[in-house]
Order: sequence, then structure tokens, then C-alpha cells
Amino acid sequence: MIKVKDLTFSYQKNKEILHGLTFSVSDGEIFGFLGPNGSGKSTTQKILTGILSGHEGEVEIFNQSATVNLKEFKEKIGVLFEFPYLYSNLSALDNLKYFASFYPVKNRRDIYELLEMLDFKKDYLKKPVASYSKGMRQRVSMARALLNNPQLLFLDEPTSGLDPSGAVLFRKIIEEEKKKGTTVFLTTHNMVDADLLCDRVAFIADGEIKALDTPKRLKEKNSNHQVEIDYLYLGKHTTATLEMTEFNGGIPFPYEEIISIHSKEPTLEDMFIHYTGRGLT
Amino acid sequence: MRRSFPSILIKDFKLMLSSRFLFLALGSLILYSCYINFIYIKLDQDIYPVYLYDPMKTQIGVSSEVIRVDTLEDLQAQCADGHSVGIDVSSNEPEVIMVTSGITSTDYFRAAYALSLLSPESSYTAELIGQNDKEMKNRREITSEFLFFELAAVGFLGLASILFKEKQMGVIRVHGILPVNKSAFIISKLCLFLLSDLVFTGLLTVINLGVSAGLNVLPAVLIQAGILSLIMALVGFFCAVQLPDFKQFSLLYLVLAIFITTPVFIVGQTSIDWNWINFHPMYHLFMGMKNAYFATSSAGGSYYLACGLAIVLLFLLVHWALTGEMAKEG
Amino acid sequence: MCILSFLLPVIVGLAINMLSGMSFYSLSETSFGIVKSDLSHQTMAWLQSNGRVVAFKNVDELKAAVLDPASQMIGVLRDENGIKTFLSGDELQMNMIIGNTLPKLYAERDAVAASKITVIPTANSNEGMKSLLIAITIVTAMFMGCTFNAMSMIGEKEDGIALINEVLPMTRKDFIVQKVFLGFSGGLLSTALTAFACMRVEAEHILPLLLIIMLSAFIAALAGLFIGHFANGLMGGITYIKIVMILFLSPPILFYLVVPAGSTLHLLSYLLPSSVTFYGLMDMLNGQMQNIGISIIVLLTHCIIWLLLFCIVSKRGLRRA
Repeated sequence: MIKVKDLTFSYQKNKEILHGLTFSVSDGEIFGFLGPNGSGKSTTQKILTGILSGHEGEVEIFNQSATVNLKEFKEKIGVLFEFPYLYSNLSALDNLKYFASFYPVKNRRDIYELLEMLDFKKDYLKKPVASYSKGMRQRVSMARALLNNPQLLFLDEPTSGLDPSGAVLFRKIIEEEKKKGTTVFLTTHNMVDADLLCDRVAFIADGEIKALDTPKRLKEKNSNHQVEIDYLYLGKHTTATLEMTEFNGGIPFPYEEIISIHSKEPTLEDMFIHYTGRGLT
Repeated sequence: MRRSFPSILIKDFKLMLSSRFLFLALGSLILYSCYINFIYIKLDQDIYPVYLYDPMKTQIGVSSEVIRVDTLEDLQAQCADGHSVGIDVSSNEPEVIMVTSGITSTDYFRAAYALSLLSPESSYTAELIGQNDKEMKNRREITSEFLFFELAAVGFLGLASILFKEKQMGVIRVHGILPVNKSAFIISKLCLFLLSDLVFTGLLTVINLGVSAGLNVLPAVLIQAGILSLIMALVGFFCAVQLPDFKQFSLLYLVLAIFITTPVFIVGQTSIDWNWINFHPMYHLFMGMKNAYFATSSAGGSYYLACGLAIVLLFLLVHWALTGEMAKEG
Repeated sequence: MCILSFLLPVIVGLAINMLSGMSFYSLSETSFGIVKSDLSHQTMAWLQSNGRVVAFKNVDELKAAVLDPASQMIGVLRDENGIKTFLSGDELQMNMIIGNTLPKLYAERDAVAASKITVIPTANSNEGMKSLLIAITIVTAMFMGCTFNAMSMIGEKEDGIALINEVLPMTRKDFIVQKVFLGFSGGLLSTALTAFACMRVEAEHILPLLLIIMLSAFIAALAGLFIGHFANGLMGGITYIKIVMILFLSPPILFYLVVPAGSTLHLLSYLLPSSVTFYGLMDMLNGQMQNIGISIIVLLTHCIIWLLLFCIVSKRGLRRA
């Protein structure tokens, strides 16, 4: 779906933002792009969505250059921005009708169905967006991104501003889009989202990709292969840490009751710090 | 573009309504019309009052314009303003007394005029070669001035305020990923503001010139209004995209409204002659408007060519600025 | 942009100062148009003693100049009995009468030349138009403070900072002082520099001038606060600014030119602060200092009343919120 080779970009002379990025995204994949502010994440996304031009290197989307047939390209993509950009004087319905008018009729989804799927409160349908909470605006923005049944979906911090049940709902929708064959390019700081959703993640820092693999393999590569066991013995609550090899033969110490067993895997954030030398914020 | 353009138009119209732009235009129309009809057309300047001190009543057959006073002190008091003229005929020879106006020729004329009132009035009247009386001239003059100011300053402001709203909402960025022609985004706003300006022009003209005189000049006035509206809307669009916030923009608006239009009005409405004014683009636009109101000979092809070129260049500049704005960070 | 808009009145003040007085005199002097070689030298000389004479190539050019709505020119041609005149018909009453009486004055010119004429000079030269422009520029400079304050407050409302202000540990007095200060100081500086650039003020008049400027700049800054308080959004704010701008700048000029001093309407015009400022400045420019004290007291009264009014209005606004 997406093929990027040696992508370089500078906003000004002698100030290169992207230094030869190379990656690809397969059809139907959820690809995570993780990086702190100023890493080149947003610039990469702008180049991929056709907003920014003047880059060097190759960028191919839908098997052609992103700049060829820009209008056709935009009819096939959906973009959720970091902030919910909507006309605050218009209602959710009016906003969605307005944005839907730019797409071919055959591609458009039913607005009411979309909003119902996103669990949008019906009594706010005709009220102006200015009266909405952050979560409601995020739902309308997501609906806007899905209006045209996109083949390629760009999501920037999709669960930002949502309560836990809203975040669960959004993840479910993203997975359903994947099942339909939609490719998802996800940019986020939220490690839970990246871990749960992404087939593969790329860590970007200072305009370079520092690591690219599935979350599972990244953790396995850097795991210390230890297990932590909480147990009761002689009325006392104790915690023991064992190497995996020690554990394979069973629990090698006396106990009365096992309370819990956890593998001490690094988190994605730990991985990010390991590969880039700094945190995501 | 065909399916999306009406949507953009409707959206922009709703933005215009919510920003109360039309309310502002209506308020301006009422304010200007009241000022024109109740104050401006009544402005005039009377000839120098002439006071006569004639204790012996030697002057018979003086003009009815002459005001007689009883004492010399009264005469001197009345003439102290630098405008009135006094004649003292208490001695054998009439003496003209006045405080200087500051201009020698005016003082000489004042004296000559005052003395002429001592003799019987002449029936001579100057030939009138124009079509307008003072009231109609005042109406045309001030209406052209108000319309020019309104389109130059407020037209610039109206479109910019809507664009600032869209900048603030961040929706310009959304248009960057929509399959929409950027030109449609620009043209929609231009069309709406052009339409509203033309309606304003029509109403202002007909209300203040009267139906007959108003309709007579309306076609030419609408052309000039259309040119000015497009140019100022494009300038407003560009400034709105480039300037960071509305506060900065409103100060620029103030600068434009007061200081750039003022030299144009001073030269256009008085007999002051400044050669450099020919290099001021607003001057030519104003004179085009004013000539349209007075139904005098319109500008040549070079004026319209220059206006057309300006509109095209501004459009391209705005298109470029909008592309940059769409790529900006949130 | 802020600095530019505050500096502009200063630049205009300098420009007015540098402009030749002739430019302004030409506006008030009577203007006669003639055709070259039509009138005799003596007739031309006589016309020049009564006003400004402009010669044109032919009658058509002369007629076009007379018909120009921007001019009050009187066309003068040779006639068998002396001279004849023509007008466009849209002139001021004064110029209509001049046009109608000019041939008679020409016929009586010898008698006038022989008459005794006493012209009393004034203490200061009367640069009426220039003084008017200077006063308008100075009042406009004050208005900058109003616009800046209004825009600042509206901007805060739009950005949501107004909400933050309400939870900050700041007293109402601090809030008002803070809000007024920038617009007042900018307006004051701009006005003072403009006045310095284009006014000739004697040493003993500096203090009254400074008082007028300070009090007026304060009122202008307060007007900005009122606008910022009542405006709900940008366009609403612009509407109010426009109305205040027109009320601030236009009526004083009109009252000064049209309404006779001492009349009831003139007294009522003191209700408008900018009128008081305008009268004070014009009196100063014309060297008439007798009413300056009244202007200063009225301005001070306006300052107190409007400040109290703002305190009441802003308190009510808080209670409603």
C-alpha cells in the first residue's frame, strides 16, 4: 500500500527534518508510527497525505506517486487529525454532510449509521459543535475520516480525549476497519493503543527510523526473560524473580499459595527509550 | 468541483451569518444613509455677513443682506470672527473694517463685496452649466466616498474575519486532505462577498440618490464596486492567511481605514493637487467610483486591464498562501 | 503591527508639519478659471487680487474644471461689458453669490480701490485647515489606545484566557489597571509624539496640553475596555469599534465647524469626550486659552464617571457569569 524509500525533507535550507526514511506498509496492515514531538512524525504524515510537497526520495501509495492524481488519491484516503477540526457554528450532521459532499456518492457511508456506530448522543445531532465535549468532537472527527470508506486511513492520536469506554470503542472500530481490508497508518504517543492495535510499529526520532518490527518481537528481542512470582509461605507474602530457564522445570521453592505470576517484559515505552535514548514526550 | 461548490457556498454563507457580517453591513447602510440625508446634504457655507454702522441713515437703497448695527462697538464686536465685514459710514467716507481671514485676496474680495452691497443689487446671475444642484452633488459625492470606504475597509475586514474563524477552528487544514480544488475554496468566498457588496452598493445608491438618479448611474457604479470588492476581498484573504491573529489584522485594518484612504479623500474631494497621488492605486479606484456616481467619462482600457491583472495576480498569491496554510502544524 | 499603528499618527503629524501652508491656503481661497489670452492683463491682475487664478487652454477645458465636483471654481470669460461668469450649479452658497456678483464688483473696482479698508491682523496666523488636520490626527492617535484595548480583551475571550483571568488571584482594581495601562500608555505616547511633531506650543501651554492628552487617552483606553467587555466575538467587536470610531472622530469636527459657541447644542456636545478634546486642541492651536480650564475639568469629570460606570458594569457581568 505504502512504499517510502530514502525520504528526505527540509522546511528550510540546511535544516533537514527527515533523513532518508525507508519503510513500507502492506495492504490491510495497522502500522504504528511512534515518536516524540519534533521527530518528523507529522511531517511524514503530511507528505504521505499529499499536504506537503517538495520532498526527496520515493513515496508510492496505491502503487503510484502520491502527487499524481491528487484528487483521486484524496478520494481513497481518510484522515483523523490530532485535534478535532470542525465548524463550530454547524452541527455534527451539517459538518458531516458538508465534508461528505466532496466525495463520490457511491463511496459515501450513511452519516447516521456512522454516528450510531461511534456511540454519538442523538440529542446533540443538530446542536452546534461549539456545545460539544472533547469526546463528542473526537467522535464526529472519526466519522468524518470514515465517511468515504477509505482504503487508507491516517489516524493521529485517535483515542485522545476519550474516556476508557470510548477508547475501547475506537479500538474496536479500527480493528473492524482492518478486517474490511483498510490499511491504517497510526501515529500516537499512547503505548496501549500501539501495543493492542499495531501489526508493526516504527520508532522515529530526529528524522530517522530507529527500529521497525512487530510489538511482540521488539519486546522479545529486549526481554530479560524473567518471571516474577507473588506467593504466600508460612503466612508471609513474598515476591520472587526467576530466570525463565529456572521456571521451566516448575516452581523451585516452597510455597503455600501462588497469588500471581507475571513475565517481566519491557513495555513499548521502555523499548522506545532503549532505541531512541529518550521518552515519547 | 461541481458537486462540492454549492456545499462550500452554503457553508460560507452560514459562516457569514454567524459572524454577523450582514448585520454590520445593514447597520452601516442605516448609519450612512441617516448621516447623508439628515446632516451632509444640509452643509453649506454662507457668504460673508456684512454689518453697517450708519447713525445718520445716509445710506438708502442698500441691499437687504446688510445688517444694520446701532453702535461702533457693536460693529467691531460683530466683525471680530475673521469672516464678517463691517462698514462704518459715520464719517463722509465709508470705511471697511474687518479682521483678516489670513488670506490677502479673500480680504480684498470681502471688502469689495461689502461695498457692493451699498449700491442697488444687480440682476445678473451666472450661467449654470452643470446638471446637478448642490444637494445632488453632495449626495453623489458623499455616497461615493462612503461606498469606497465601506468596500475598501469593511470588505477587506469581512472576508478576513470569516477566514480567521476557519483558521481558529482548524478546518482549513481539513480541506488540505479533501478532494477539493483550492480555487473553489477561494472563489466561493469571493462570490459571496461580491454579491453582498453589490447588494449593499445598490441599496446605498438608490436610497441616497433617489430611484431615478440612482438607477441611472447604477450599472457603472456596480462595475466599479465589483472591481473594488474583488481586489479588497483578495487582499483581506491574503492578510488573513499570513497574519497570525485577528488582533494584528484589526490594527492593519485601522491603518488602512484611516491613513491610506485619507490622502485619497483629501485629493479626490478637494482642490488640493498632489502629483504623487497618481502612484497611489486606491486613488484611481476611488476616482473610478466617483466618476461613475457623477456619470462622467469612465476610465480607459488601461485602467480595466490593470484592475484585471491585479485581480489575477492577487488570486495567484492567495492560492499560494492558502497552500502554505493548509500544510501548517495544528 | 501594533507599533506601526501607534507610530502612524506621528508620521502623519510630521507630514502635516512639512506640508507647505500654500496647500492649505489654496483650499479656502476663491478659485477662478480663465482661458489663456482671453482676458486683458489688468483684468487678470484684478482677478488675482480677489483669489487664485488658473488658466486653461480653451473653453472646454475650463468648463470641465468648473464642472469637476471636487472644485468650487468660478469660470470667468470676457464679455462686451466687462466679464461674465459661469458655475456648475452645485457650488456652496458663498461661491454662488461670488459668481453672481463678480461682474458687478469688476465694474466697481475703481471705487473699491479708492475706498478706505482697515484690516485688523490676528495674534496668530489663521491656518484654519492645517489646525483642523492637526487636531483630527491627534484625536485619531488617542483612538489607537481604544482599539488596542478592545482587541486585546476580545482576543482573550476568543482564546479562553478570559476564563483563566477569572480564577487568577487578582483584584478587580488590578485587573482594570492592567487592562487600561497598555492602551493608555500607547495612546498617550502616540498622541504626545504626534502633538510634538506638528504643534507649536509655548512653554506655559505644555502642562494644559499634556493634561488634555492624558485625560483623553485614558478615556479612549476606557472606551476600549467597554467594547471588549460587551463584544461577544470578533465581528461584534469590530462593529462596536467602528461605531465608536465614527462617534469619536466625526461629531467633534462637525460641532466645531457648524455649531455656534455658546449655543445649547454646543453645551450638549460636551457630553461627548472627544468633542471636549477637540475644542481644547483647537483653542490651543488658535492661541485662545481662556476655555482650556473648562475643557480639562470636563475631561476629568468624564474620566471619573466612565471609570465608575465600568466598575459597575464589569461587576454586574461577573455576577451574571
